[in-house]
Amino acid sequence: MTAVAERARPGGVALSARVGRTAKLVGVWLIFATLALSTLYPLVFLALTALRSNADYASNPAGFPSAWTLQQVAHAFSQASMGRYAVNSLIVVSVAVAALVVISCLAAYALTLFEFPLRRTILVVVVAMMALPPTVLMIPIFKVVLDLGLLNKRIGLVLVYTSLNLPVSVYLLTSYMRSIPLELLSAARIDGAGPLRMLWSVVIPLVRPGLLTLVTLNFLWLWNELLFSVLILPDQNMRTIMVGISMTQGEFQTQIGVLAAGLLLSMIPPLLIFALFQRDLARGLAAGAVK
Amino acid sequence: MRSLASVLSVASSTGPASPRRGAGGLAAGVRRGARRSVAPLLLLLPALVVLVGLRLVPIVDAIRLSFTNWDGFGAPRWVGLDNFKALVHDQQFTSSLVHSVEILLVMPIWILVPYAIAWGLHAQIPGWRFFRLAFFIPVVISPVVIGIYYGMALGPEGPFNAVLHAVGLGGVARAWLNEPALALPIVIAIIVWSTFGIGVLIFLSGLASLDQDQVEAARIDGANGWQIQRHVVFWQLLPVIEVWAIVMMIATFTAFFPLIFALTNGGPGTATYTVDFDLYQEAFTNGHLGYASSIGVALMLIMAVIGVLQLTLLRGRRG
Repeated sequence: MTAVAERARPGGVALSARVGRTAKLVGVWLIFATLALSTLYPLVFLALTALRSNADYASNPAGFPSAWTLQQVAHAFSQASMGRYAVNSLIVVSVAVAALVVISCLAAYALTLFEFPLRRTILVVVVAMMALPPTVLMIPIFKVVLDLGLLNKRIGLVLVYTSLNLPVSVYLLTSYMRSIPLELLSAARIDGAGPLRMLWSVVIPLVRPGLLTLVTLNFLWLWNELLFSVLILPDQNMRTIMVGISMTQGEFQTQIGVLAAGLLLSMIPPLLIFALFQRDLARGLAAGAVK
Repeated sequence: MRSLASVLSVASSTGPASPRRGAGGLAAGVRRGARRSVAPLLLLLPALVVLVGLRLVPIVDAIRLSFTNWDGFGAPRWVGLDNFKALVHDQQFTSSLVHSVEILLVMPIWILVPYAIAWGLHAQIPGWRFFRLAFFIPVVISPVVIGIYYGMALGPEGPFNAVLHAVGLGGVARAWLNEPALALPIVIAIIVWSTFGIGVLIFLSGLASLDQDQVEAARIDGANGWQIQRHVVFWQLLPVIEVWAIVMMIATFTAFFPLIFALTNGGPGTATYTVDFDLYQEAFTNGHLGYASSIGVALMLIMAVIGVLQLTLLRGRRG
């Protein structure tokens, strides 16, 4: 806004309203541009830092490399095990997302299209669960995994991840399933379709956009998750990418280029999802906010 | 980001998915057909097992553990109210609480920045498509990455100091995150930076469903841009602002652990401890899982207060 003030001052009252408006637009535009620069710069900075030697970075950290090299990227995979961390993440997150889709589909289907005792109560409880972020429950959730003997086992984290996002996922799907015309289900029932058959051939095709949102959002959240992966898979061979990069950061001899390469690697799936499903993501994230 | 986004859907949900509207002949028919079958219970079973085991039982266990002394290895030992008595006098906990409240104090900025940006995008400022894309980047990037990146950028040998030197402000250059007085304000600024994109999204969808007739009517009545903004748009967007405020309140106490873990690890000293970070540290760095559970219970109470606030706002809006 200072830009606006500075521009407006010299002319004083003589400035026409139109010039004032243009100046204001330029001021606002500069603020927007600065902010956009701040969100894009990390990508540029990390890419440049990953592609130069440490000495080159130290001599001019904000500028362009004087010589390019792929050595730091190579080290990120060979010495810093970033590739393994990424694969670990991919395994856990994919299985958890698959489990979430299946379990939340079954649950949302039962909760929206069937009548049974306690149906409403269960719905209320599921929604209420979303009001208590699992961070608050980190100790007892850790204890459940410990008691089940699943510490440092991938299935332990898969279970926890499923429980983290299940309430949101069920809620999201119920909102999609509630708009299914019941005539379709009645017709299928008359044709003798069982509950699973109806789910598969009537309900699922109708909520496909909802499922896409569910998959992309859950993948994004779980890929980026840190707390429970650090608690449940501390073993170095099991570490997810987020644990991997934060632990690498703390190691004394870490070269900044290696770390930058690891950060870039960890950003590929989120940015890919962002590029491909931007609209679904935006809709999913803002879902319900203005209902 | 994950917790933030899931928190978002909480705050925005206006109560449980209401039962089928107008469950008329067909609806009742579909339902009645299934009434006597066990199908719905079987369909629900996997979800119930996961949710009861990992979300409901832990709530009870969290409370039970807060009355025990537990190091994570042996059996928890009952100590009554000792943890809570100690918690009240725990300076690290109270200062963490103060830090979280300080984060809450930037709420006006938290609301104004995304509001203003959403307004600019909605008014289709030149290049708005590009801006919308750019502003979304911090939303999809993990807080871990954001934390490590800012640690690099603001480090003593980092690009920020290099730029300061280049423009002749070398005297100001320092290890920014090692300054006890500066660390928390910087962390708060980064928190605002990393969350404004979601706010923009929410406000944009609010603006998209604005009642244009009212805006038009005000304009015909001779209201200027600011008056329209203040008397028409603001009131229409108030529910959205409330949702956003609640989201940020919940996030303040539960969502910034990953960012702080990666950025400052609570330091220098305990200058950037928040309540959720303190909970993690006490439990998993110091091994006081029983004691830390009392911090968890304190957090549950805070969540309950926010929940009541949310319900009150919702009632007020409906009533």
